[in-house]
Amino acid sequence: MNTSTIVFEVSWAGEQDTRTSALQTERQLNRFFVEVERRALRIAEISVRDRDEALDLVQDAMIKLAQKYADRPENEWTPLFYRILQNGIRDWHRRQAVRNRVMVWFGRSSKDEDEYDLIAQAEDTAGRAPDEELQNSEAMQGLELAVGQLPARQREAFMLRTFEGLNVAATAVAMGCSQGSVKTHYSRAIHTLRERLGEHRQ
Amino acid sequence: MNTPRNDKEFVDTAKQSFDASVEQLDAATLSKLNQARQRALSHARQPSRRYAWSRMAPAAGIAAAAAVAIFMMQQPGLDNTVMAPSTASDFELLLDEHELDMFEELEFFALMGELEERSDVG
Repeated sequence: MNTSTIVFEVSWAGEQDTRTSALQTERQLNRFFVEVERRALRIAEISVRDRDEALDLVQDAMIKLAQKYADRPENEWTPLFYRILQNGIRDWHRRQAVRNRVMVWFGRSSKDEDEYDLIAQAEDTAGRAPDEELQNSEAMQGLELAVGQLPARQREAFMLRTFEGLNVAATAVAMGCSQGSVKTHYSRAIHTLRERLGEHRQ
Repeated sequence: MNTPRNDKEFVDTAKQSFDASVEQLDAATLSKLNQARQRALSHARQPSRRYAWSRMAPAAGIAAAAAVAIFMMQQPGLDNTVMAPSTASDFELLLDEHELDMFEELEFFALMGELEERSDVG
């Protein structure tokens, strides 16, 4: 075996290793996305009150995670993914605000937030008892409206902690703030929501 | 939703309602999510490519903003009581859907430092 054959074999083995590693990362990413995508969609939807926009935001977050951070350890993906998603949601709100200003300036009203139809967005009821479905659906609609009306940082803290189940440290990474701020926002969110939903029930 | 007696109970009830709404997502939405996932995975396979025109976006945004401003100044009948978009950057933000990546990169470096200090993130 001469030197060039050895070099070729080492290089070939290296390429094989790279390909195997890439495939493994892709499989792990796929598993991760399957695990988070539905909750992420609902979280984004509650934030922007539009399912199609929410789908776009989730897709963008997935793409950015896959492109830029796939080589990070898997246990960092969840806070990173939500960090990207929350940034996307904040940018979306900023764009909406600018768009609204421009539309007002041109003398046109932009799409009214109230156009978002909770009934049209209601979930598939297949396989559920009507009573159970109605109770769940009403409860979620009330909660969704109340969460949607929270200040942005409280909304983020509440959804990441309660809906996604992130701990305080991971929520702080996802929100880009201190753990103390997460605790404050979360506590205020719960207080406000309990108050609003209590009033709603009365 | 029954009236929760404490915060823990409230959070548990909220989580249950949320989980139920996640479980009930319709087939069309699930299909779109699946397509989004496949698209993201296809990006993982390919190195990121940035098109030359995307680098021109900030300049194009400013040029467009200037053009709109000149156009608006020449319109006599417009209602000037409503505040105009404050800066060219407003237009840039509207016209440029992708350049915010740059800011994310800046945040990323800070985040990486943070993550490395925290071994318990999960």
